[in-house]
Amino acid sequence: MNPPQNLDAMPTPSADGRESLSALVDGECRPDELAVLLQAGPQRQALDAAWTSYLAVGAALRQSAGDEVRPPSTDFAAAVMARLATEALPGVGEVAEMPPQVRARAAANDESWRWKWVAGLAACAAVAAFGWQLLDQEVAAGPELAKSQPVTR
Amino acid sequence: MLAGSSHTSSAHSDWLLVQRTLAGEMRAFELLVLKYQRRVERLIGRLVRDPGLVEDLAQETFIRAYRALARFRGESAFYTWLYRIAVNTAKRQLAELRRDPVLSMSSLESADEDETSGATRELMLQAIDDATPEALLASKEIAQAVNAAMEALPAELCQAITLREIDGLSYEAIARQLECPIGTVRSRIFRAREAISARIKPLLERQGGKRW
Repeated sequence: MNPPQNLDAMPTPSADGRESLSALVDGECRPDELAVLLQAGPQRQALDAAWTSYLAVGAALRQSAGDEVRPPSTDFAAAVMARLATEALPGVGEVAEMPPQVRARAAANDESWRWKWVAGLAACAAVAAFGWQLLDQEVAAGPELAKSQPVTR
Repeated sequence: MLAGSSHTSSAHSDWLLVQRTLAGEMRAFELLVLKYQRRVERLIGRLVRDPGLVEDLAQETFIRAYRALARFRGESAFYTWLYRIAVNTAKRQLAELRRDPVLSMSSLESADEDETSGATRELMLQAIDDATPEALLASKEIAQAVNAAMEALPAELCQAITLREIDGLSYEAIARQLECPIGTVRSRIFRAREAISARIKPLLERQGGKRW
């Protein structure tokens, strides 16, 4: 076994997004980091290389049947993206449904649900007020009607 | 369920990228293409057995996936969903070309049901067995380089990357186990990946762009 390397000689956390990319491989990248990462222009090629390399490292360490050690062809990805760039695609820009476990959590805090509750309660209150008013009128009109009724013997 | 944890974090990473794609960031989809290109090619290569068709069908798979992305609900892993699209794309192509698939239709149908089914696993293992000698050599070289790089890593980095990639632990679980902050775990894993990547870089550059 080779002697351990000096920690100081190891690559330091990069400001160019590679550390965020490493976290993304692990599903531990923060949304704000991801947004910055996806906008990285000049470092794009370096980030592509890092992304494929990190995935290859994981695949090689696990040596599992489903994982691919060989790096992808950037020409292939470029060809796919070029084809996608020429057509209008349905669904993009729409908000996808969340997985059930995320959806359940989000529903409890959903703003639109709160407004639906408020609207529902307001509608109930309006119906109740209208009903109360009608009832009130009938009660008030009752004696008047009795008074105006001709006495028949 | 060690490997399962690793798959869960990969699924979460894919979910994040899908969401960004749906928000209009094409770059996120490009990362998914880079991640799954080889697996899709290998799967299609097994189904159609025509090297001339494999790349076209793999491209078509990603195009179809992109068009249908809004219907991906995250109930299964992204690759499981993509896998079904790849199988359907291959089946459709075979039907259009009226070719006799090398595999029987029953094998294709069982492959279509679920990537984790026994038949499909068998397909994937066969696909690995079918890899060219060049591809096998490339994989072996990369694996050897990764192992050599792991042996040269400082213990802290080696522990962190092992707990993450092999044991499939989250950063939080690794932080508990190593009794250090999550930020340190994240930094160590990154530094380990960088060190290993530096070792395998020449091999990856040599392999990049070649056909499997």
